[in-house]
Amino acid sequence: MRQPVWFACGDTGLLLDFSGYGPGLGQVAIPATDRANLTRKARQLGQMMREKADSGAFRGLTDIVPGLCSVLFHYNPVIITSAELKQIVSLHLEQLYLSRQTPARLWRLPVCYDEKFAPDLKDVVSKVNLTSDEVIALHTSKILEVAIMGFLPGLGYLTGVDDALHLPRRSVPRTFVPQGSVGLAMDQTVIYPLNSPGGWNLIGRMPIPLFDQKRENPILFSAGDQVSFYAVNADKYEELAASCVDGNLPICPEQADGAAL
Amino acid sequence: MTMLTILTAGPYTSIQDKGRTGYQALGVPEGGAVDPDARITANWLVSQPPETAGFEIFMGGFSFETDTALAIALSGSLSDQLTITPAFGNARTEPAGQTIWLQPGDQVLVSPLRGSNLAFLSLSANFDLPPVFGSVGTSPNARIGGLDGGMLRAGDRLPLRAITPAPKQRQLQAECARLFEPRTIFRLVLGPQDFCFESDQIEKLTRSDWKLTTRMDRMGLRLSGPSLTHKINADILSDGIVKGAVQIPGDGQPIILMADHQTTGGYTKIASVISTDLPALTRLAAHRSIRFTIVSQAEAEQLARQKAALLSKVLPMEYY
Repeated sequence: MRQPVWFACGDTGLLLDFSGYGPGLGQVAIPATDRANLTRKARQLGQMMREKADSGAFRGLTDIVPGLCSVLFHYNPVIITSAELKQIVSLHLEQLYLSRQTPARLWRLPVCYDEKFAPDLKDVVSKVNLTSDEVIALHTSKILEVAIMGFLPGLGYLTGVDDALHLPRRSVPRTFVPQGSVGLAMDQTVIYPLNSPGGWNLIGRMPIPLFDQKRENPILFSAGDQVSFYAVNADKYEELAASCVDGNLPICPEQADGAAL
Repeated sequence: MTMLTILTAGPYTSIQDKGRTGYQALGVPEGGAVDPDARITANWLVSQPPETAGFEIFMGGFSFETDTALAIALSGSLSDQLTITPAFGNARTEPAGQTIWLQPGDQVLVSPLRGSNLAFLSLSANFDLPPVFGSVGTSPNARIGGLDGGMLRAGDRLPLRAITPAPKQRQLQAECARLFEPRTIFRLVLGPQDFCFESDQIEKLTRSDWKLTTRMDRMGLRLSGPSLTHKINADILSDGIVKGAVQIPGDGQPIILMADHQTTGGYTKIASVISTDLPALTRLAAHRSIRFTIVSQAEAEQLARQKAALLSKVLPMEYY
């Protein structure tokens, strides 16, 4: 295994890249399973450092953002230098390879794949050469992983999508994608936490808001969570959507099977 | 309840404070005033803690009415003036960079800015708005903060609390005012993906004039100039992003990422504007030309500490 490599992000960020190729070149060089493992390692280091920082072991670390095969440490250069931060993180790198991953949460989420919520399902069906029932069956068959978060508050990029469903983004992005839309592109699937522009192929809608300011924990996902989908009809979709008023959350996560980690 | 009523919002005015720290792993942008120097100094002028929310005003054209007595101050564009029109009597003008007292019924106008593209107006009061992830600052793309997650509009009514009617009369000292002198050369630290470019492309970055385009907002600022070519392509495995990152997408034209940038992204970032220089970049209007020069990460950190020391000397309070 290659050693992780540090990269500067101005005077407020330090990126630790686990791909060993440098971020950017790893994309072609790393097989998907290695990529998933390196992403987990990077995320785990982030969690470890967050706990250390929260315990008051050192100051100046302002945020920790996991990426694909990398983790970004945001720091305040008035309080800590990048040299000091590198030294502290490096000390924990050794422990990282000995420590166990914390058990993940598994969210089982309902998706309505009805035509009115799935403007691109027909297009996807023709592109991947399957029937719509087969696309839905494959989309609901796998346990997916929140590889990283980004783009909007609460949006997780879910990896582990069946190979048969890999396809490019739409050539022309939409200027408006409704909240809850389930998108499919590349080897990933996403749920839009808010109304937003977007270029993913829309194949369904999920009734439970990923981001709701009224909830005590407004954001549902964290990087590392597992997700699986099950199909619901439009009546069930409406019922579930209605049950989410006033910050109510009609579901709770299960503890994921440790074997998957 | 005491209120400020927005009379004219201007093209891009919003409520901003220090932003949200520690939530980027959930996809929540840091947000906050894009010009922290203006926020810190304007708050000092009204005897408020440096993180306090005020108005971030792009280009000016902003006016409001107060129904209560309070103090205000404008910073970030020190050569501009405010026009105060009382309910009865004649209007007067007041300069930026000092404490200004208002009476109930006063209307305050920030005319189109001439000295800068951006100003920050602080109040000796707090907005009585619900914080989201610890901040009332507005991130319009994430639709959080402010009144309803959006930019201000004429007719908006903003409730106030914790009004300090008689703060100290203050004026920005010359040493501090120098922070706001226009800058056209911006210092960069290379990375994290400078290795995705041949050395002649890095030279192109530092030897060319770059023009600010009209495509600028709280997320980013697009430059135009010679096209920068990638060794392979613009795509990378998505990684975390800092404010000031110089992103080079497929068209080779740089985008400098601002306070509301996405927390992670999949385009190469050739370098980052250092934190000391970034506020000055936000004050430049479209069509202005800038140049870049490269410093090391350690030099950039040293400059950040020097600026912090200067600010703590001239604004004697904890401001980070």
